[in-house]
Amino acid sequence: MATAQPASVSAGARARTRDARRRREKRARAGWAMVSPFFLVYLLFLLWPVVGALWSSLFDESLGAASTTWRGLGNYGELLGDNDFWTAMWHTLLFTLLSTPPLVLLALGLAILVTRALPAQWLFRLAFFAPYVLPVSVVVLLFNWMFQPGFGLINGYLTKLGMAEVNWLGDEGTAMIAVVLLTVWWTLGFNFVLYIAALQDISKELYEAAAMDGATAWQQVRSITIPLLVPTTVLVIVLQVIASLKVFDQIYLLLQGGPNFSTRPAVQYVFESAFTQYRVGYASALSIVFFVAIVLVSLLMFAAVRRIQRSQGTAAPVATAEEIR
Amino acid sequence: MSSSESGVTRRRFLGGAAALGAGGALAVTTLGSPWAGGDRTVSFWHLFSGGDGERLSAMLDDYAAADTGIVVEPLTLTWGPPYYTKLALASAGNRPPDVAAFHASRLGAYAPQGLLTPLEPELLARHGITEDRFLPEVWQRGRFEGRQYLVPLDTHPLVLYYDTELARKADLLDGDQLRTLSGADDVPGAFAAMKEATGQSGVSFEVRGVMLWRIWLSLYNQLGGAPIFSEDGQELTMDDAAAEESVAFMTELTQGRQLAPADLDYPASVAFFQNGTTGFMINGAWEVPTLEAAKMKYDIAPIPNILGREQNWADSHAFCIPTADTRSDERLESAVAFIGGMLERSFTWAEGGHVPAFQPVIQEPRCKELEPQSHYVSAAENAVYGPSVWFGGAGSELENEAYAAFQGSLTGASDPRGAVRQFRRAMADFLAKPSPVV
Repeated sequence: MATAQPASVSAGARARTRDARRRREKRARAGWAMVSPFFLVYLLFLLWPVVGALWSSLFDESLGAASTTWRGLGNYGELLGDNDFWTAMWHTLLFTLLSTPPLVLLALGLAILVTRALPAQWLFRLAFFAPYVLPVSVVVLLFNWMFQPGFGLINGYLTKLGMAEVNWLGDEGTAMIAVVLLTVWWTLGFNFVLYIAALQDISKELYEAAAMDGATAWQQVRSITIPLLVPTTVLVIVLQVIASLKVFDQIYLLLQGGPNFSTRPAVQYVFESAFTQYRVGYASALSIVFFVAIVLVSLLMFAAVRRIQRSQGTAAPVATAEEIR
Repeated sequence: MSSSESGVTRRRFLGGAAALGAGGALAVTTLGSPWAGGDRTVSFWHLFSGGDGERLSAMLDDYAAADTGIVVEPLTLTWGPPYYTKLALASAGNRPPDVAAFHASRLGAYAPQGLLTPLEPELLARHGITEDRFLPEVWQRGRFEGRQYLVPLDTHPLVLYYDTELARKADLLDGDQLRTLSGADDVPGAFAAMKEATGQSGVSFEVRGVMLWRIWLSLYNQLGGAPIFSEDGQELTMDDAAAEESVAFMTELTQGRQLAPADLDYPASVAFFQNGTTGFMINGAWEVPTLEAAKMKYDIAPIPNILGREQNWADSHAFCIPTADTRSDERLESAVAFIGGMLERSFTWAEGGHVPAFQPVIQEPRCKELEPQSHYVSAAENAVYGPSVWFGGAGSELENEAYAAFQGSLTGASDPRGAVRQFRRAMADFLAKPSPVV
C-alpha cells in the first residue's frame, strides 16, 4: 500500500521540499551576508586583539624595536607576585563596592519620587539625567575645583556648617570617596532612566485597586512598585557592576591614580605597564588576568540572576533591557 | 516604522558610513602622514605649550621667513608621559616625525631600544653643530654608548624665585638682589623672615607633583649622596641616610616650621607666589614668561647651598631624530639643517627662562644682559640630572614613584624614614622587572 503512492505526487512533494530547502538556504545565505559586516568587525577588532594579547602575554615584548623572546608563563608568574597589580585590582573592586549601592538605590529612589510624587516630571527627569551627557573631562574639571581646599564649593559648605575642611584629593583616605561622589553625580542618570521606563510599565490599575482597598502611598510603593521592579533592579546591578569594574578615565584625569597610588585602578596599571613602561608582553598578561576576573564576576552575577528569576518566576531581565532600548 | 523603511535607511546609513570611512582613510593617508612632502620637508613634534610654545612658534616663524627652502611641519603634543608614549609608538610603527623635541633625561629609556638615530659628527658639523660649541656636561647628556643621539637646546635648572618688594620688606636684599643664602639654618631663616613679611607663608612649591623629586634630588646631591643607581643601572646604590636627611629638610618646611603650604598642586604653587601669599617659589626656570606677562616685580637666584654644596636639579631640552627605515639621506640632511637653524635662534628660547646650550648664543652681549636670566647662569654649571635608567626621565615612573613617596612625609601622612623606605622599595621593584629596553 505504501508503494501505491503515485510517483508523480511523490516527485512533486520532493520538488516542493527541495524548493523549500533552497529557499531556506537562500534566506540563510542572506542572513549570513547581513551579519557578516558586523562579524568581520567583531573578528577584526575584538577577537583578533584578544588572541593577539594572549599570544604576546607569553613573550617579553616591548614597545621598542628590541628583540622579543619567549617567556612562557613567566609574565603570569611575575604578576602573581606583583603587589602593585593586586593593589590596583583591589582599588577597582573597592570602587565597585562603593559606587554600586548608591548608584542603584539613589536611582531607584529618585525615579519613584519623580514618577509618583513630584510635579513637573519632565523638569526633574531632565535634571537628573543631564549630568550623564557631559564628557568625562568636563565633569572632572568641575569637581576638581569643587573639591579644592580653601576655596572649593564642597569645603565651603562644610565650613559653613561648622565642620572641618577635607583635603579631598590630597588625602589617601578621602580620594576614592571623592571619585565615588563624582561618579554618582555623573552616571546616576543612566540607571535612573532604566527605572523610569520600568515604572511606566507598571499598570495604573494596580495602584487604583490598591487605593480603593485603602493602601497608603508608602504601602503601594512597598507592595507594588518595588516587587515589580525586581527584574529591572537585577539588570541595573549587573550593568552597574560591569561599568564600575571598567573604571579608569575619571580617576586618571582627576588624580592620575594618586595620591600615592591610593586610587590607581587595574586598567590604569595595565595602561602604564604597556605605554609608559613599554612592557607590552607583561601588560598583555595583566589584561588577560583582569579580563578573566571580569568574566568570572559576570558569570557569578548571571548565576545569581537566574536564581532570583526562578524564585520570582519573572521574565528575564535581559528581555526587559531589550524592551527599554 | 515599517521594516522596508528601516531597511532602506540602514542601507543608506551603511553606504554613507562606508563613504565616510573611505574618505577618512584618504584624508589620513594624504594629510596625516609624517612622510608627506619631499626631501626638503621636515615634520617636527614637540611638547611645548604656554610661554614655551609661543617662543618656539616665534622661532619657527623666523626660520620659515629665512628662506632656507626647508618646510617645517610642527605638531604640538601634550607634555609628559603621553608625549613619550606617542613618540615611542610612532617610532616602533616606523612612522615617526623627522625631528622631535626630547628631554635629555629620557635618553636612557630610548637609545637602547633603537628608537633614535645616532648622529654622525660629520653630518652635524655640516650644519654648524660641533661639540666645542656646547658646555661639555650638556653635550655629554646626549651621548649613549659612545654615540651622539641628542643635540641639546637648553638647560632648564631648578631655581629660587623671589618677590623683590617682599624680600626688601623682609630685609633679605643685598643691593637690589637677594643676599647669598647658605646653610641649613640660614635658608629656612630667610623663608621665615619672608613668612613674616607676607603675613601668610614663606615659600611655595608643588607638593602634589614631580617638583618634590627635583627638590629632593638637588638636596641629595648637595649632601654628596652616592649615585642612586650603579653605573650599569642594575643596582640600587642610594645612600639612605642622605636620602632621609633630604626628605626631612623638605618636611621641616611644610610640617615642622610650617614655612611652606603642604597641599599645593602646580598651578596653586605659582598662583601663591604671584599673589604674594609667599615671597619665595622653588620651581623650574620656565615660569619666567608667566611672571613677565604678569608684570610682577621678581628676581631669580640659583638654588642656594643648603646641605653642603651648590647643586640643583636640571634637565635639557634637546632635538632628536627618531629612527625610521624609510627616511632618505636628503631628508635626514634637511632635518639636521633645521636643528642647526633652531640653535642659532635660541636667544628667543633664552628669553623664556631657559639657559641656551649653544655657546655662540650665550656669548652674545644681549644674552649676557638678559635679566633675570643672567642671575642664574651658574645653575647650569651646578646641574644634576636624573639617573639614566629605563624607567627614569622627565615625567617617568621613577619621578612619579619618588614624589608619591615623599609627598606623604610632606603632608604629614608618613615620615622621612617611611618615605625613603617606600621609594627604595619602588626602585627595587623596578630593578627586579625585566628591562624592556635591552
